[in-house]
Amino acid sequence: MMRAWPLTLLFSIACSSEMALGGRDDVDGDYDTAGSPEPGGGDGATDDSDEAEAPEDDRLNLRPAETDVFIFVANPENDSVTRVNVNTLEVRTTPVGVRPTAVAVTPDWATAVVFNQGDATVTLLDADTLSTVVTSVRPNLNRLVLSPDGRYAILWHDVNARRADDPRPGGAVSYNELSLVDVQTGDHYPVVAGFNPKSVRFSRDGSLALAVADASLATIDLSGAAPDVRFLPIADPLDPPVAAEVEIAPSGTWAFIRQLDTTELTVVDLLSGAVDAVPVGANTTDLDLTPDGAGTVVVSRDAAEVAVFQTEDPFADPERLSIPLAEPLGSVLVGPGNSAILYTTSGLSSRYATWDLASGDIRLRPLPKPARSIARTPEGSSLLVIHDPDDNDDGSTPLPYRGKDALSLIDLDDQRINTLALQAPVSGYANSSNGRYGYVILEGRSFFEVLDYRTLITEELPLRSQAVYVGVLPDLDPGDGDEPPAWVSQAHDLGRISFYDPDDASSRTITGFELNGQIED
Amino acid sequence: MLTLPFTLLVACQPTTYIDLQGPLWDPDGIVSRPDGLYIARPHAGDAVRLRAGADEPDRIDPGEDRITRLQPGPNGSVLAYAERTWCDDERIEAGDPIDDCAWDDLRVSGSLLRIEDGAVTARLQRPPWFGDLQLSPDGRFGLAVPSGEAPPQGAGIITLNAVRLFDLDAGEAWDVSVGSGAEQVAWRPDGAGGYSHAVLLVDDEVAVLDLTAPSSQADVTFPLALSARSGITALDLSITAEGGHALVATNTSDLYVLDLINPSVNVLALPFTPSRLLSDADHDRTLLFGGRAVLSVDHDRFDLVELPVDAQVRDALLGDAFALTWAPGGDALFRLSLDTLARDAYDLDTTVDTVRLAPGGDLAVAWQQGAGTFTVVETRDDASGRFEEEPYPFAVQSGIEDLAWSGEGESLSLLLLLDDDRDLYRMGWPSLALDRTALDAPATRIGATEDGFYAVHDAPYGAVSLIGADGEVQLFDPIAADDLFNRPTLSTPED
Repeated sequence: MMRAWPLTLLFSIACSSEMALGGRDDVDGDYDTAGSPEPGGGDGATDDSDEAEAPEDDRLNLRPAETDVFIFVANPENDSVTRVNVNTLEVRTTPVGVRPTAVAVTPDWATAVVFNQGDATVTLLDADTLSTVVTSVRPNLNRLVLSPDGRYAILWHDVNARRADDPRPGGAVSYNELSLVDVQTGDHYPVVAGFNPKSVRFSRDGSLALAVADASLATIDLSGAAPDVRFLPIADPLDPPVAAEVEIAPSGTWAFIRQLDTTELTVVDLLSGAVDAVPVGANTTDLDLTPDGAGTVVVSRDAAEVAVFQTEDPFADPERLSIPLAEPLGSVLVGPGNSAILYTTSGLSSRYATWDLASGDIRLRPLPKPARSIARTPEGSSLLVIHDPDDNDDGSTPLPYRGKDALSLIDLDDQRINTLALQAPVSGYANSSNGRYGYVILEGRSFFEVLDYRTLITEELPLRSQAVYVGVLPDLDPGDGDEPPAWVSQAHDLGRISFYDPDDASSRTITGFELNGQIED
Repeated sequence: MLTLPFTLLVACQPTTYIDLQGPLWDPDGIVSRPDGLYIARPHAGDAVRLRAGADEPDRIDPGEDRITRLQPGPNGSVLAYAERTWCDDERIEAGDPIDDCAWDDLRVSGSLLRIEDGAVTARLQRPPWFGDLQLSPDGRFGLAVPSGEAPPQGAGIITLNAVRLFDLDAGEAWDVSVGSGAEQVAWRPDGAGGYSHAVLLVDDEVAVLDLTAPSSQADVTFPLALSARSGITALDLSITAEGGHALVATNTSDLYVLDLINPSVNVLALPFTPSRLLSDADHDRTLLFGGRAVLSVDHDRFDLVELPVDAQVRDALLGDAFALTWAPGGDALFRLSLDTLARDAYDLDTTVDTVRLAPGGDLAVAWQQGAGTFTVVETRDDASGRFEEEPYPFAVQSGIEDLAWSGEGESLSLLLLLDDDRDLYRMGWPSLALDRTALDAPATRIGATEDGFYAVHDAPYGAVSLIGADGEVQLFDPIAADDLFNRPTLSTPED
């Protein structure tokens, strides 16, 4: 029996919800602290935290967006968005623009922002009343991101997110344009950034946005009545290194840009516009900020080195730590409590490392198989490791897991590990914000796994059709003892989504919400 | 009634042809009402009423309309479907034979007559291409869908994608455009004892029609598929007691739950394609039949409970706090308690196609037409809560033509018609005392009247016997020999 979860005061999560118009994994919680799972793996994969996965061919694989009580699902086939009340299972569908392909929700859960790729519009949908405001944006865009304060939506064209069924462009196509939409007023501000922006990041308060391209950085001041753009060259325009990612200091003073095939970290003074660089080890593979923002962490895999810069004084000598045994670990997950995880998704290592930021102690730990992706629970006590079928080069992969997809649950306090052999690759996962439960779905399979991080025991629950996306609603009141429900969207012509209550292990499914867009009322 | 002289008279005349305008009488459409038995005479264009003790049938005069068939109406009335033919040629007048009008000048209109106590009391327009009315439980509203049959010549332009709603109390009718393929209707309660909407199955859609504010468009239309080529067809539906939801079964194993208050659709996956839907209003749930289980769907959360049975049951009926379900052509009959959902099986030795509940609901009879056996079962728990699963099988000397219950309580009895047998058998229950009533001719069907029952004979000019509670038989024969040679005439034109 589903429990009724009372509506309490809204809890604002300062997160930047980023929507690539393709399938991607997600981790519940703040990206800046929990980190993003890396979709790498396979031959030639690097530890670049590339946020865009390969485009999905299946138009139905559109990740729903969640608020405290609602799930919003885009229905591109009938130009509508469906809102499902998780408590009552009430379904309401409202028409939006042509072919909606992304929906995101502002941090206050008041507005759902829908990108209608078919007619290049954005629909601002009141989450409660479902009233709409429609704004036209620039054509040929395919990515949407919301600022942490929910004030602006920024859209741009990402060449890595293109799909075969994208609308055909018109006579003139630009790859330099961004569209900024003021979510409160519906005003549209088109701007020109660098060619092929790789990423858009925001300062933590949402007052500043950065759009990084290989040769340039566009800084967008969002604090005024209208966005103010400044264009900064950051590399030789004739032969720029590939920009991989950008981080912003919490103060908004500095920006850090990691580029491939360099031994420098580009540092931009956002106040003066000055562009400089600091030396780092060979082949930088990850860039992250510590939870308090005081440190900027750069991992250089080939150098087996981790450098920690002072975020507000980037030109001071960083703390440089060597990774034991020169283990080729290239990614970092900085969690709460001054701890971090170092790992690689390149298949070059069958180990990961725990890193005490305070003491600088880095310890290698074994893995049964190489990792394809690692996620840390938001409160930091557990790891979810997703393994590819590849086995450890040294033959140390236990026999039951050889040649198979697998996942491991690891308790970071006592290093207990439970590894599960899987019948199919993991296609998505989500962790509850209190770190108690996680949920995993497998590619092409009609069930989902409930992971109990406390016991490391998993339960398998059947679904009526193949799982497509999984998510967890936010926990409004962590102290009430109730676990927030998880949801799983499934492949079904008419739309299907299930809700799971871990408190009593009950589930309910609604099917047919895509029909709601065709109800004539 | 004298028939022999009539026959001799015909034999001495030159050959005369009767131009039949329709069947002489309609034995399949007999309507039993408290004031008598009504029978349509399509060739004559009228109807008659048979009353016990009357010397002759009472003729029902439809005026210029010609009655084609009858249907039970609300509050003891009879609804008659009628047509009127006139000629669109100024030279031809009302009253002239229909044959005088050129074929392509003929014009036909339809009407619905309300007959009470042997007389027409109301008339509503009803285009002739519409089928029978489906009446709301309170008899106030009726809905007719296109019958699919070829309309009479002169019917004019036919609209096949509209249904006609009737407010029989107000005497109003209006058409609503819903698309083609309209079939079954259910009525949505308004919470005040009446009905506010008609919920209609239209191929792969469900249309909700407002009864309180006549409109030519549906209030809400629910799609059951995203594509018109899906092949999905709605087959059955039920409305929850408070009128908030409609449950629709289709030719797939999906059950559609339609929220009628905040229009939305939810689809429940079923383990089989249901053949029958029954709404249990007392327990706020719908029962679905059609597989080796009975499915119970509650009307609050629409959770599905599967109740296995040992046979593929496809038909069912609801009693008071129980349901009976069976597999037509098989020998399995189950009783489902609506309070506890416990299933009990009756051990039948006979095959069953039809099950009929006795008045009062304590008994049921199961039988198959043409078979020489039938079985009576008890359906209720006794005073101590014990349920009697043992059936009472009976065998007869020939095939059973028809079976019906009559009376109730101490006067409860079972009526049997046997093949090629002129006798009507009546067996009292629980006494099992057997009476035989001799009929003047073999009968094909029996039914109940206000104070007895009737038997329909296979007679070309119409013959019905009324049998009183005391067993006295009164034969009406012929019923439809009047006006055989009359030529039908034209009516006054209608707009």
